[in-house]
Amino acid sequence: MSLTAVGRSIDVGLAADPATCVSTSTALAALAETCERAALVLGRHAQLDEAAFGGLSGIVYRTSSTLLEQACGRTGRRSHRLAEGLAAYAQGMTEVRRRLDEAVAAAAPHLHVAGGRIWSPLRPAGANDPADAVTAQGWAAWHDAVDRWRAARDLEGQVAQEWVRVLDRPVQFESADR
Amino acid sequence: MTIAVDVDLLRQHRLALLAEADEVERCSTPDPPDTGPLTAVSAEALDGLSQRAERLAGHVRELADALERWLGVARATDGEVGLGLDLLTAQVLAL
Repeated sequence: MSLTAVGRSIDVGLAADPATCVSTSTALAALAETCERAALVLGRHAQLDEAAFGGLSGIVYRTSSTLLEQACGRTGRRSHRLAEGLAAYAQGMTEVRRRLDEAVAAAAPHLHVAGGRIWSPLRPAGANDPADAVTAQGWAAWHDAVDRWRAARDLEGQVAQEWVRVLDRPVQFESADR
Repeated sequence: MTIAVDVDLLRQHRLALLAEADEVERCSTPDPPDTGPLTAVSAEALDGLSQRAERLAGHVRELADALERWLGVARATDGEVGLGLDLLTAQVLAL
């Protein structure tokens, strides 16, 4: 049975919480900035010349500082990438929420909206029934809401896929129909 | 054989290293976000990054400690021949 058939409902809930994503993204950006600043400090230390710290110890110190500078740079870049990815995810999910709210707004005057779901109306029976105009409006609103819901869920899928790409980890997605 | 050492400068380096290590550690554990069905995998990725940042802070602190030990010996020998050439350990070199 298709989603636009009678006796169905669509879930207009959003599982993710964009606000927590923004908060974590900000924290990740701070970590990235800290690592990048540490890399700069270590890079300066690595340039200590023979007049200030000569001999084998100086060489070892400069080498160690360089290795740590590189490690700080790598960690900073990873954190920066996650911060940007999560900020984009939060923005995308906020847009998904907006589109789901649009679906609710389109349906609300004509349909039953409850428990985070929009419930389908009855199909119009015939052209001459006085009740048909009302039912037809509900039927059209249902289809409109479903179209908006589909677009929102498509976007949600794209946003999630992009975040998974940034995470760079294997993820098993469940089947899309909710 | 003599080794040139700017003790004051190296002390400043040590303090700077400790400050950076503290700051990296302070920022190393962001709260995991609620990403719906991806919450677990997101937390896992962030946990990996946190561990990496904490290890990094630890290594920076180790370098500062090695520098402190080296400066202690340098102060004791006060410019004599053969200052501990290998006092910055292979562990630090391998970071």
